Amino acid sequence: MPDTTCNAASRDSADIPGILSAMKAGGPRQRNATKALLLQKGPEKVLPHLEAALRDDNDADRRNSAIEVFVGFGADSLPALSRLAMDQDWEIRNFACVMLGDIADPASVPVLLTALKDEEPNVSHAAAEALGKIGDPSAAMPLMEALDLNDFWSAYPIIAALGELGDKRAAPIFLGCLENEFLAPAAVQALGNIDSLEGLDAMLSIFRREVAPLKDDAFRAVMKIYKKISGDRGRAEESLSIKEKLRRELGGRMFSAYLTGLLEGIDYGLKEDALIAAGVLKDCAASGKAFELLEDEGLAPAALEAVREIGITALPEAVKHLKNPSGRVRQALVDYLGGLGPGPGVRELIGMLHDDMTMIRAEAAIALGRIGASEAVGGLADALEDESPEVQEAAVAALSGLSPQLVFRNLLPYIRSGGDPQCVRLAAETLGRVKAEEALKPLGSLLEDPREAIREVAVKAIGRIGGENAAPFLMVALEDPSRKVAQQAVTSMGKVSEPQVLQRLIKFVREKDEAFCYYAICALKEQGSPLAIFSLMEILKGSSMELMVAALEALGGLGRKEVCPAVLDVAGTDDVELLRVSVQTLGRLGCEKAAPRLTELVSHPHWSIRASAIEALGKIGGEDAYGAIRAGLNDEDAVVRKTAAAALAMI
Amino acid sequence: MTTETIDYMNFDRTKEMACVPRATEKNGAYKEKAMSEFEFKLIRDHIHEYCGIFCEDSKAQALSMRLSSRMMVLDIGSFSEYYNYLKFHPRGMDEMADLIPRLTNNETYFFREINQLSFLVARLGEKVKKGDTSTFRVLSCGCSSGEEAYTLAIMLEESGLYGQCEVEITGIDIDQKILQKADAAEYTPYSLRSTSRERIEKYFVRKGDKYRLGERIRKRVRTVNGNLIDQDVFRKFKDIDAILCRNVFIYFSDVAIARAVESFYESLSGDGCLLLGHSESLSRITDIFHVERHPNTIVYIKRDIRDG
Repeated sequence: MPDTTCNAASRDSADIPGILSAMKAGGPRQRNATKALLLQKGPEKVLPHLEAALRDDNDADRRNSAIEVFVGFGADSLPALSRLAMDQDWEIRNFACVMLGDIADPASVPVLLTALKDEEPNVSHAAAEALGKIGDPSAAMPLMEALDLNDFWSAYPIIAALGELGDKRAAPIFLGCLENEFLAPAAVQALGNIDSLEGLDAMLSIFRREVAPLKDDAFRAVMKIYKKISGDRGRAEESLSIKEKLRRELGGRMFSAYLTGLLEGIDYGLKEDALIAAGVLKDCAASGKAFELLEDEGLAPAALEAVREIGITALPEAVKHLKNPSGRVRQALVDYLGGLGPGPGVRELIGMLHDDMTMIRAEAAIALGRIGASEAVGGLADALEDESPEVQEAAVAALSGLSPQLVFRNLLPYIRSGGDPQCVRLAAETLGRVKAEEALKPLGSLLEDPREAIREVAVKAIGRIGGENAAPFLMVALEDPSRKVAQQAVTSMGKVSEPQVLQRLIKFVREKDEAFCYYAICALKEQGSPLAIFSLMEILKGSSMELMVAALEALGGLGRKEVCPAVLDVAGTDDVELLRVSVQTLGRLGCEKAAPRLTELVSHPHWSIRASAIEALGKIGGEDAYGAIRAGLNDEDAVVRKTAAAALAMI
Repeated sequence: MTTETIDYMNFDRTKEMACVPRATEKNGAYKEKAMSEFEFKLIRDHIHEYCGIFCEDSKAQALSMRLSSRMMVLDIGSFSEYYNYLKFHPRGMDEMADLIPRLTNNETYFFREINQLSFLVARLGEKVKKGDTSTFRVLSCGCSSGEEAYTLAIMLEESGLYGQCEVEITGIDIDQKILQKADAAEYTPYSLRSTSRERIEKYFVRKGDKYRLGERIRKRVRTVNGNLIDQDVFRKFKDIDAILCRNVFIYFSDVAIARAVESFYESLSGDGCLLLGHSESLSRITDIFHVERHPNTIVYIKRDIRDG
């Protein structure tokens, strides 16, 4: 139900002071709603009331509300606040500087620079802080000039502000302040913003002296400098040398104990920095805590990066977490173990093929595949029996990366007619992928299996292995009583470049064999033989959309320009899908005569046609293309605009 | 034991529209491919049109990974070709049916977020108390492997309400394979991690390293293969008292949610209710339901449109 206070206020739109007072009542939700109401009324109406509230010493809440609304108006408040920054009343000048800092508009820098010289220390203090918040580099020199190191009250915010600005010219000032008990904390933080090596040395020196609480600040500053430099790809060499310096200066048990302390502490920012440092220093002692912190969603990326960097010495700690109840942690472990590469960690990864969670089992299989761990072949073969298709596929993929002979030996027992269909299927698929030639005969024997699914996968695998020895098996499979199996045989023929196979495929296309034409076209595309051109062009003269799309793709792959007129004819269609494929084919073929049609299509209502036409024009090139592509730069669709930019680069 | 919900698609390691391949090819080994923004948009729009699931830009890399494994199985070299396969290949629809379940997290478990189920049990209890013993119909939308539907059946069994009126619980899911699992009703210990030992012993039978739900509860739930944004699916369902559709709409676009919710509205009885996941809301989408706040749950009650 809407709040009654709000309702009353909204009915009386002239009662701005009333609304301002209402802001302080109620919770944050009402406060925001009331503030929004005031902002809606506009600065002309509201600002005078805000100024009045600012001057009212008797109602601090109303004054605070006025400050909030001033800031809410943003740049619209600047003229009023600039005037108030020169008010007779120092408190008003102070408030004005604070608000200008919160609005953080660089346009207020000149006003604040004037306020920096205010005789009232609270005002100059506020002005310095505000300049720090705004972060405009033009304030750096005036701040340095205004600095009086003997006046702590004004010096502190100036040093902090210079720190926010990160101007390297201030570095000597900060270094000079490090021995000053009062100014050192601000100077340490400021040095963190300036990625100078002198600053880094100074921080390391403070850190070694173990002056608490400066120690934590110095550590933060060191990590800030490190992160800034290591995050800049152009400073890779500098980053490496800083890494080495940190390892030299900070490696050791004492620092390790310090890191562990931070990781067990409550400061989130320090924890994150500690994780980064643990990685940089390859601090194995911190790895246990790092693995625990994988449970924390916010810290997990830093924790994972740390253990990755620590590398193999963290493995004993990793092993302790293999049964961690958190799926997030176990998934990170897969990542970590996979990153160790061949050898260490493989055994643990094989164990994770039995994790409760599908995703983790699948990722473990993928990781083992990437490593190419031959000792995992047994575990991966077992994973073919996993209940999840995703894990099965990952296992197939992983096995496909291993030696064909090794895989063949391990999977041959599965290739038995009458065996578990799932295992037979996956084993056959895998053997096809590794192209184990010795598997042709056992796969050929599966063509007698009574189960259609088995025969189908056997044909697919035979096709994958390919070669002249595969052709006889595929010709046999063409006569299979199951249409599905026979269609797979046609598809698989795409991988066998034998004359009799090619002739058979062309025949299917020429005769527009209802059962096999589509598959034959796909196979001809894969074969890439120019002998198929005329049959494919016939398809373009009038067939179903599916056949025409397949034929266009096949012709595009053959790359012969003599088909351009036929493809250009198809590009006269209204059907969006057919049009898109024909346009893409024209681009692949580089049909210059298609340029006028493609230019028309740059203003087609559908984004995919506009983008395809632009891409095709980019490939074809020519002066006329340039203008049409340029038009795409202003397209309403982001993909079209990006395609236009890429196409222009090609011309 | 943790009861965290893992959103598979949210385990991305990057939020960028990454189009950079990761793994390297090795004898046809796992190779993740690069998907252009054009291809992503084509495929995303096709999936959305088919079933309402909408992949945000930040999910591009995750989608690319899912598709890469399918492309590997099908021997397809590019995402453009894969799109054409989905649209034009004679087995394109079969492939869609295989692909869709991979875009969402199917992993659920028994007795997950039971406050809403307790609400339904209480609602049925009130109905029976008032003397209304007409059939109580519940749809569990996106039922996956059946844990939610069977949990409700167990709770109703324990409430004693089965003896007092007819209850029909129907689970609907787009994935035919997962429905087969629901019908088989065999579960790993992981699915039972929030189920008490007493309930496991009472309602399940150990079968190897899995647990099979007893027939008494199994027969209380039937499953139907259907697409939530297909209005024809819901024409078969009338006078539904409650629809559970939890943690499904997190994958949908607003347009798809609106379409699904319209169908729900037509299927619900006059005072029928809709229950969504805790992080889901209809406030932006439609006002054809009004919101009722109950202890620990929010319920959407069908609003008579004559009320205005």
